[in-house]
Amino acid sequence: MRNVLSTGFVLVTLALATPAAAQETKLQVHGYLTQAYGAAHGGTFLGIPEGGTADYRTAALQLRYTMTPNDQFVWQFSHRRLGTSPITVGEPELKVDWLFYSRQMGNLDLRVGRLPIPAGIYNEVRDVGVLLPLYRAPYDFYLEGAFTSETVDGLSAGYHLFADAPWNVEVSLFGGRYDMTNSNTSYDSVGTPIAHTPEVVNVDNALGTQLWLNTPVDGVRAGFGASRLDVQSGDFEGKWTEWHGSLDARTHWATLQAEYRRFAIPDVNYTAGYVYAGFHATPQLTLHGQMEFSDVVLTTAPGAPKFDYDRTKTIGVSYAFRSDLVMKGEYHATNGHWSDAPVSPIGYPLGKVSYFLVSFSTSF
Amino acid sequence: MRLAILSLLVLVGLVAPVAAQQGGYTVIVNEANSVATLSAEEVSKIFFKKTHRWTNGQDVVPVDLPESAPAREAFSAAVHDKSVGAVRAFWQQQIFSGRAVPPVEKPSDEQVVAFVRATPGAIGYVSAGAPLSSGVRRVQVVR
Repeated sequence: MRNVLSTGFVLVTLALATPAAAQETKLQVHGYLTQAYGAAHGGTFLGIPEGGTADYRTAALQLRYTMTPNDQFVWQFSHRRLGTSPITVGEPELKVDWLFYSRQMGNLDLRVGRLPIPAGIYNEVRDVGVLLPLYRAPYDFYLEGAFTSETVDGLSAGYHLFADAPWNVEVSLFGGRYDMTNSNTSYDSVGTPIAHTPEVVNVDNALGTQLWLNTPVDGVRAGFGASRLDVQSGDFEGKWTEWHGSLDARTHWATLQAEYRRFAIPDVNYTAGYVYAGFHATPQLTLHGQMEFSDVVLTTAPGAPKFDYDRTKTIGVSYAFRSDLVMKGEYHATNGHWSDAPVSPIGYPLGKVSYFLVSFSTSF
Repeated sequence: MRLAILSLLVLVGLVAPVAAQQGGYTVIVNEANSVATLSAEEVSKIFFKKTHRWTNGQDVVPVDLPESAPAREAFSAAVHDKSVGAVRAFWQQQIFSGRAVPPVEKPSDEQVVAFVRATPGAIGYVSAGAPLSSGVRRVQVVR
């Protein structure tokens, strides 16, 4: 049944996938699809097994109803498969991503409902293959389906300060609640780690901000964001705080991006970052290189020991037939504790898993 | 002499595409709109929906030609300093982050003119030399 639904959804998406063209109608439909094949070596990473899997995709349909030029309802529902990853076990075939009302008042944008969280370069578009350099946003920084959320049930306000000036600032504030999936480690009777177990927890009192400083150089900006939240249950129950910084430079011939973030959660500090460089050899062909890291400090353990949690190096190539039709190939070499198998929590040997992904992305 | 001819040909080769792009479109507004001149940056902000209102407080309503239209290619290069594909990528970012959608598209110069004539806050562009009926006014775009 699951495969039938998946296939049906993909077919409907493809059938609707015509080049984006703004319509004058009050109802607009947009969507995206990324289908991938991946195989790993040395274990399983993010649901990609050694035997390979094509059960790896993201897709969404977005319906936007424009009541007036300044009032809109946006509804987006999505579908995701992550191979054998435990994160997606129990996930519905289709879920409501967003459902919000938006009102534009000059440079002020107000939203209420289930809405995307502005955080860093990619949080709002982290599943949109045609907008991502690689299959997914850098994992150490953005994570995926664990410890973070793409959406919040609540309110957000965005304002463009000094909009007509060469240096201008985009400010976003959000608040509300959401469900967050955390990943715990299961052990057998003799204490050997055997699996990652997802746990959905309730997050209340989430508050956050994202600022972007746009520079006079077209395509160059710097960002800063911070948030705080109350996790209501589970192994990581308590107050969390987070901040991050971003640099984003996109020119005709190259893209350079770097982001850094720090979580302070009960008993643990998690820091992560990445540097990405893309060389646009032609308008269609881009060569990619990326280095990621994450570290963990056990703040309440004697001496607050620090652990190298992950180091990942990535190379890739993409070819954009059009801006809404992109093929990518990428190779990742990981060395850390994120692998699905071997299960290697802190204190156990690092998992050295490499994997490749070949993907096809489209949007309309 | 050969060198002079060669230099002239190179110069023509370098200048001609720019001249063709600049001459490839005409920006128009509703005739009730008093604006006569806009900078390319102002027009770009309007078509990227970063400017929402005219100075008289009226909502700005930009209207595009299809991506395949030569006038759109010239307009994108001259006003946005971007290719049509790069502009499309900008709108994908806007759409899939839940923000804005691109301007309305009309399939022909005639329909752009008709839309601008019927919409007081509208601004559009048509192919250079396209007939402009009453109800719309040409706007000069300066660098």
